Amino acid sequence: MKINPFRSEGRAKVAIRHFAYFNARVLAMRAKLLPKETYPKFLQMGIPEIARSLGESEYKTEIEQLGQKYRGVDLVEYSLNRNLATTFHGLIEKAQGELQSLLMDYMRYYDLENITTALRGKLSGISDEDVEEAIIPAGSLTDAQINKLIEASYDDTMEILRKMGYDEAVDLITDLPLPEVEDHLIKMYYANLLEKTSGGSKNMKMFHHFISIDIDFMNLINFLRLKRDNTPSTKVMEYMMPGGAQLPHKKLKELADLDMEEILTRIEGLAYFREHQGELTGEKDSLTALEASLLKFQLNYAVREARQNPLSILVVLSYILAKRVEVANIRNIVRGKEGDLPTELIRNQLVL
Amino acid sequence: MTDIGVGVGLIAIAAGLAMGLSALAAAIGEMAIGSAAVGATAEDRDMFGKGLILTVLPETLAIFGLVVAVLLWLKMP
Repeated sequence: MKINPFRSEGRAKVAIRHFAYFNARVLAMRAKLLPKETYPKFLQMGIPEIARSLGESEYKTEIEQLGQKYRGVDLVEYSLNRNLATTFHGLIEKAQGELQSLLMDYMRYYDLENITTALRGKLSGISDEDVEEAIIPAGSLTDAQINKLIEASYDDTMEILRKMGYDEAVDLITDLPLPEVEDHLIKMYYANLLEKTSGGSKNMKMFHHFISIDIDFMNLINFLRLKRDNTPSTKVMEYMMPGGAQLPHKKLKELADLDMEEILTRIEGLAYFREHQGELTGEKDSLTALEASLLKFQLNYAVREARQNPLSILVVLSYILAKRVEVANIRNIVRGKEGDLPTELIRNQLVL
Repeated sequence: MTDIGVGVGLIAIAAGLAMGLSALAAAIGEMAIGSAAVGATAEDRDMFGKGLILTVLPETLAIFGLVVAVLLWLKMP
């Protein structure tokens, strides 16, 4: 039988009482996320102080484990990766039935990231150790599988990927450059998620809706980046992911011919931004601030929807997004500090 | 066997239903709240007290049922 690397087998529907149990655990975990006030404090600290402060938070175990081996940015960076993986694996373990299968498939995004990281490492001659450190083992690949991918030669990697079911990706790698293969893989990943969740239970539909919103925001960020670089509209459309909730291909195509200011005004008409008119256009001079602002809107929208459906899959999905944002914020601060970036520039990148 | 009459029999059934149905409703309420309380306590032990209080809140429904059943019982000759 052909393996589909993007999909786990279908499982039973989940009882309401399991959602009550699972979502209460998730909400308790969300309460332990770093409060907003932490980031301005981090901005005033040096990297060792940030690491020490993280060592007193939910990242304690990882900081202690890796503290023997690494220092400074490396310590923070690897602790963040490991904590993200542990947290997401923990969520999958706690979930049951259909919920577990959906979460597993959602986390396969990290499989794609890890595969492309391993391939990029081989192509650019980076040491296995450095590649290993950039891996976020939050997906379905086991540590043994990831190690095999990292240690294998380029040709052996292709064979391993075929065994995992990524035949299509292997065929593409021979013809296309890696970034395009990556783009293709992500499109396949989202298409699979959308296909799996079209129809079915209420939670499947909610998951489908969440993924469509995810696609909208990802498209928006890529769209604005490409437009800022004056990419021709036909080329812009090649990078757009089909399946967005409020920005289908047709609408994006219309936007592609407009100038930046007009695009932002049109985008502000979408339901995501209705209560915050003028905020996006206010950020038009800085793409970094605009991206951070978009992520903030996505997070707020997800949290709002989760509050309206407290016994649904949206609670865990909004937590996953919030956790990712937290890790990205800390990463941006330490990387910015390492590169001696001005505090204001780092602050602009933060999703607060 | 003593003949208690239809009226008394109906009162007895009503008292039984008042108690039984309210206890069932309380149980349904406690099912979700109890699951959530266990989940919250698993993540944070300090939630045990709060969880316990919230879990027993639907028990008031059963108490109302009991009060109604007792009132009906008192009406019985």
